[in-house]
Amino acid sequence: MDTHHAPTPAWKVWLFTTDHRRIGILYMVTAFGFFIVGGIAALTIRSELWTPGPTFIRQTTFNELFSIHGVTMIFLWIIPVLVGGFGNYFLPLQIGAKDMSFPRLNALSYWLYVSAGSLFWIGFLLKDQAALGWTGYVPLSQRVGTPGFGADLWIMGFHLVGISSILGGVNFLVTVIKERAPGVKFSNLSLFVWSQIVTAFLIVMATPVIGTVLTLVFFDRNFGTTFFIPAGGGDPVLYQHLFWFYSHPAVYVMILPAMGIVSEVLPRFSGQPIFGYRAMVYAMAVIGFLGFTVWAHHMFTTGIDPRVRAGFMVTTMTIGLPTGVKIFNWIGTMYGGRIRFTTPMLFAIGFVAMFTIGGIDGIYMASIPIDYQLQDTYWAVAHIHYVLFGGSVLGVFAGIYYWFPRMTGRMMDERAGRWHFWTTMIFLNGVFLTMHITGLLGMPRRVYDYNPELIGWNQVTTAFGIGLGAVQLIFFYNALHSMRRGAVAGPNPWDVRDSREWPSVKRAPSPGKAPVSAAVAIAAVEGVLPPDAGRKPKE
Amino acid sequence: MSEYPKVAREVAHAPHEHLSPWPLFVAIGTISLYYGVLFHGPVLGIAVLLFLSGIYGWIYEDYMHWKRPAAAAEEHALPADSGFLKKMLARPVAWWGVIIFLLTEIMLFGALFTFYFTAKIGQSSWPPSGVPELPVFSTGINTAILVSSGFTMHVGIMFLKRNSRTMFLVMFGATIALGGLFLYNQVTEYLDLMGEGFSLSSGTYGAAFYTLTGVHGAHVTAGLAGLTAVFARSLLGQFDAKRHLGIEGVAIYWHFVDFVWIFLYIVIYLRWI
Repeated sequence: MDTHHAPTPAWKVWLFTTDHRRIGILYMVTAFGFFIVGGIAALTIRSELWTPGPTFIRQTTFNELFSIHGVTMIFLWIIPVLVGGFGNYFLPLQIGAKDMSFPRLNALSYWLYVSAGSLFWIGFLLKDQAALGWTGYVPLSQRVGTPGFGADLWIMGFHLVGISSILGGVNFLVTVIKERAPGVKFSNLSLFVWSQIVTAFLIVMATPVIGTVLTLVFFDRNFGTTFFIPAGGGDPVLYQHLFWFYSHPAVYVMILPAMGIVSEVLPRFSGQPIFGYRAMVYAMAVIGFLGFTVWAHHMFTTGIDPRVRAGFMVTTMTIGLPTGVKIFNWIGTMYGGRIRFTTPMLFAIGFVAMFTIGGIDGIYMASIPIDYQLQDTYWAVAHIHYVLFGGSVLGVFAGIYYWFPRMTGRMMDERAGRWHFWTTMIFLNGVFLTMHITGLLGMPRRVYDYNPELIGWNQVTTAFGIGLGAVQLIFFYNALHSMRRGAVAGPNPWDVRDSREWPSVKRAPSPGKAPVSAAVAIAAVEGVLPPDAGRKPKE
Repeated sequence: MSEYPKVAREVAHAPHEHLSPWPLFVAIGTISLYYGVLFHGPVLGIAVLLFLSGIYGWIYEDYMHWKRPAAAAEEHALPADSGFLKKMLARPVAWWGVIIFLLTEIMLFGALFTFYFTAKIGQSSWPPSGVPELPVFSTGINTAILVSSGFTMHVGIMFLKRNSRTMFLVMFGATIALGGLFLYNQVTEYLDLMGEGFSLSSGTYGAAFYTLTGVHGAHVTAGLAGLTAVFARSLLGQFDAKRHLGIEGVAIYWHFVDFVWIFLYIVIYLRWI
């Protein structure tokens, strides 16, 4: 360590860093910022829906709002926080690596993500805005549907965030292959790391397809091609096929890392190892694989061949099986354990419950005749938000509360954490449970106006929604306050007895020095490594 | 102990390896490229300059800053009886990076070919009436040119491994020349076809043809840039028989570009599939 240089100024460190922990923090902070603005968009939508017909914003603004809400939450919040944030910070630590295989590429991914965010939001804030949903179907996204360049900005933002993602996916996979410390084998990787591996694989295989199809739409808009324009022989439904071929695996990108976090937290606070480690790994791999075979369940109402639809119905139902395995195994992890209801544990248990509900919602829609009724209604909105908020976001909170001492050296306030958890649970169920009802009663999604008979349910949803937004302030206050003033955390702040991760948290080895026992300790899943793993063999 | 106090201390003494301005620089270049595509004109020109200088700086830092000699292409630390999986896992980082990156490229071309085949199936006659015949023969020669560039590169690496530096440089130079010739012929073909009225706007057939061959051409261009950069480093004597990972990486990419072209030629020109 060179002690003769003056300290590097903080701005330089943060702008030029290639360290995975700092990049992880950059991702988390930026993503939470987008969570807030995406949430404000949602609250504006809900407020507009307080009454049918115009309430306080224009219809075009409403369409732009739900569009920016979708892209922000998916591409600027949940995927960056889970993969770029948690993945970057903890994957190298858990495999005993000193950093990613390509540290500068890692930093590039972050800065491209920030740039992509600017493209989306500049598009939103300018006059010619995109109101395409996050799905951007043709012909609405064609020049004839959206003449202004807002749609071009939307396409470019999507494209760029895809490149950021792909570079990250490549980086993660090469890192797991090449940077594992001695003793860290595929057979004893933590489930969090496994979840990131499957996620990275999905990113690498699926994202190029969306980049391509968006480029084709851009060409249609700007270079006179007719990829999806019927007059030139193009097929608009093909857009949907190509779009959903990516976007369905994308939803597994959004949930798998959160599942990985839950698989870390539940065993720690149940006092026993994860139930069925191997099954959990296989289940994630099967989910990842099957995720590529279900995409047309988003297209049951497009008039494609019924035999094709039947096939997708079968695959969609099948993907419930490995998912169910995971849920049962999480329950099995807790069963008979000595449960400690710390805040991360509460969020992890909440995840299991909420994700189960959201998952079952999806299985309902897998049935084609039922989907005819529920497609593009608030039932779909309920489903996606149960799995995304009730699932992924609760998983994020579990991870933040759990790993906060690891990242900052301080503890978050437990009491505030409990308040945050319980109020979030009450309000999120209030919002999204009622959406099932409005959906069943026929209210379409993405509508500015609705049947006045549904005003009661809509107002209930909106009221709970405002509550949900408000109580997140508890979390933000807690986190910001605890960063400076929280109780200082010891080496094993959660008093975990049976994991080797916490007591021996040593910084990953510097080049040339590999404290093998620490690396193995960080990576080990309890009870999976033989007791003498990591010790140098006798010469 | 958490990392945070350590992270805070490391701010004061951050080793130089951990800081690089190039990711931010390249990101700024990239976002400018996007705005440049949207607004054309000088924005695009500035963007290209920014982007390319960022890439240059990045590679320059790679060589100058880390001051590592060119990495070994083969790992010799494994015992001879290691299984296939172990040998694959022992391949260098850069090799794995290229391979996994090529997976993304396969998906990219896969999406484009999906479009092509779907468009073809959906039409009663393919190619549609009114489009000119593609120059199967001259493009066949061009295909041979590209394939032979793959051969010259392979032979060149063989020479390198036997320490025949001059022959290696000759073969490598030939690879670049052949690749450049391929591109030139493609551009000529494009101009000819456009002169006959066949363009991007000529229905799905025109869209598919120009996009597939054009995206491929863009990849050839990027490959040539990589080949040239590696060639320059070879002239500077940075590679030898044992250490030539940069060359192997570019070689794999070039073979991939070659392979995609053969498939493209068979599907679009010969229409055997």
